[in-house]
Amino acid sequence: MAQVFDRSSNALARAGLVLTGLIVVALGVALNQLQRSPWVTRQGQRADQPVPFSHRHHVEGLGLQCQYCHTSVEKSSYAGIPPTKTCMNCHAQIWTNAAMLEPVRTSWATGESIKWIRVHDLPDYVYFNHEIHVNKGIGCASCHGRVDEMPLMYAENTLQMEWCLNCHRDPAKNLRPTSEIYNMAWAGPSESKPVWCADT
Amino acid sequence: MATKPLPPHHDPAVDPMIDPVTGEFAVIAPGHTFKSVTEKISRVVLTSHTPLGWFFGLIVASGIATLFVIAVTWLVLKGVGIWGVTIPGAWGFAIINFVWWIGIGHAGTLISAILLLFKQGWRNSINRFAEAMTIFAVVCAGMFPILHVGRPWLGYWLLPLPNTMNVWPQFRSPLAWDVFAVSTYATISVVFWYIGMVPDFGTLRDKAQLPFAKYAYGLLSLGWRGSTRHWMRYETASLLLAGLSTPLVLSVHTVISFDFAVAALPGWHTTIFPPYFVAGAIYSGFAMVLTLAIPIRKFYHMEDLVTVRHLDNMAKVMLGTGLIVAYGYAMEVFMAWYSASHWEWFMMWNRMFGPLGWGYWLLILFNIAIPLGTLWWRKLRTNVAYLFLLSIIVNIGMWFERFVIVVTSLYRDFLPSSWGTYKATRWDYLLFIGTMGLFTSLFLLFVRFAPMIPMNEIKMMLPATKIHGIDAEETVEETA
Repeated sequence: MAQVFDRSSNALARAGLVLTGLIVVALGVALNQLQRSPWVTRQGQRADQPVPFSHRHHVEGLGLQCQYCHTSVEKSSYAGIPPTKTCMNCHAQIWTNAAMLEPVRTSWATGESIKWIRVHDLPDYVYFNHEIHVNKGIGCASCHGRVDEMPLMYAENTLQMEWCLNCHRDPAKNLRPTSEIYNMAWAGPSESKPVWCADT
Repeated sequence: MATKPLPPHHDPAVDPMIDPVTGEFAVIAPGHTFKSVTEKISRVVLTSHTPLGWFFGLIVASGIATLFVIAVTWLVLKGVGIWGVTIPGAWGFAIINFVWWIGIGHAGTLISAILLLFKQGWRNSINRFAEAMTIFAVVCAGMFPILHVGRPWLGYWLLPLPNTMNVWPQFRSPLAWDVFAVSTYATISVVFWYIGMVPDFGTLRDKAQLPFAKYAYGLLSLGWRGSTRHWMRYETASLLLAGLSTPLVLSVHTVISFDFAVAALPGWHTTIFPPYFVAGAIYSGFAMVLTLAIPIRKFYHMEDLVTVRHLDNMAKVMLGTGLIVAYGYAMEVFMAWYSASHWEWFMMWNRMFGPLGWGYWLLILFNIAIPLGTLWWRKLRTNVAYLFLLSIIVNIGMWFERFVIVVTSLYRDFLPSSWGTYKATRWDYLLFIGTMGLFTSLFLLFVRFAPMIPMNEIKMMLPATKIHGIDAEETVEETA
């Protein structure tokens, strides 16, 4: 009578065991990586905004201070997206015919809001407060990255709970003098500059 | 394998249940050989003529299991509000059924593990399907903790997995312990069950005619050749697993009793719950083993392997655990009075004479009065029809025990302003009945495709395995 399993089954059985172990490990690693991947967090993804607003141009190029547009950041839980009025303060006179700015002019003419796409969109069960962070020494760049170098806005950080907790459990590493909150280029203390200096 | 030495007035020639070699009470009928045991058990699996009754049973059971699918689908679509749970009574059928099913599973582990440690030979005939019963009962039970949460899709938050929220389960909640208890229980039960079947799968592989069956059982038997070394390790592993399962069986239902006992509610906050729940689990579990064993031994003509003596022994275990349960009921009443806590006392009064008092008296009737009143008589314990009826009664009674504990403690507690009532909806019933269909379907599949009685363990009980055959005459003479 012929054998049910031929010799190759030995190799297959062993390979099967190893493979099962590998699959389990791979699945674990994959799932762990997946939840932090930009695919889930949308880090670095440039949303398709109605107007390709450039922070780099307005901040680095023109030297606007953050609060010029995001007026309520130190008074409210919500930093605010500037209304069309803020855009029109300048763009009523500058680049008045630019095609890029057409939605802004339409909005101004019709009174319809521009439908900006939120890049930092926390779930509504999170009650994030901008004011407390800004007033207690967390700079814009700590959470939002070098926005002054972003031609199109994207999320620098994950905004996941572990990211919030990492700072809340040890805030000191991210604190800065309140005079430096809006200084995008502020660097923390280093070997050569061991203490905070007002004139970085 | 003895359960009792030969009594002097018994003559082996007269009583066929007395082993003529050892002079011990045999637990399986005489006349079997290695070959006949293999033939008898493997024929059920390897037959090319599946009995029509099996098909009929599977169609009915899977039809009922479809109700389960419907109930779960509707539950996920609409939410737990389709059930009869309310704000004072936020636990209802789901938890009752969960505890009931888990309890049923426990007898399987008791038979396969605890009775192995006590070297009870009579367990051999029933342990395989008792283990299968455990696994399928845990399958049914395990779904309730997931289904009864409002957001079942977040059930994995109960597992201690690294995650981006930096949040872990609360390890102080007995409901979190449930997760570990039930998942460990399920895993160990499956492993124990499977290891036990490996030699039998080997037999099936060798007996099978169809190439596919040969291949399938060959894969399942993992190259079992039955060498001495295999058997040594097999026995050691079985014993170790039995030793591991024994504390497991006691702790799993203890953990489930903690779901209640840890709470501050009168009627729940009782230190007697852990042992009393375990006793109840074994009580109901043995009832379920009987409910399954009696029709199966009849349908497959296994009366010579699952003998009346087995049924008698199981009934005795039921009597023993039933008495512990009765003690539990008595202590609950006594402590309600002795505590001098008027909430406790009211809880007991409400349990007996409140709007759902009928549940309590049904429980007393079904769990205490009928079984404990009758199981003392050997005549009734060996009456198969009566035992079957009784096993169903006890299953119902033990369901009512959980109903009484869960519901009557919840719907009237400390604040009269938060008293309510509990009335199950059709979806509660549908889900419960559906799990019975699922359980039966799985069990029927098991009976058809796996050896329902461990051939290797039965063979070890045959007289031919006894080495001291030479002394047989002496033994008989001594005791005669």
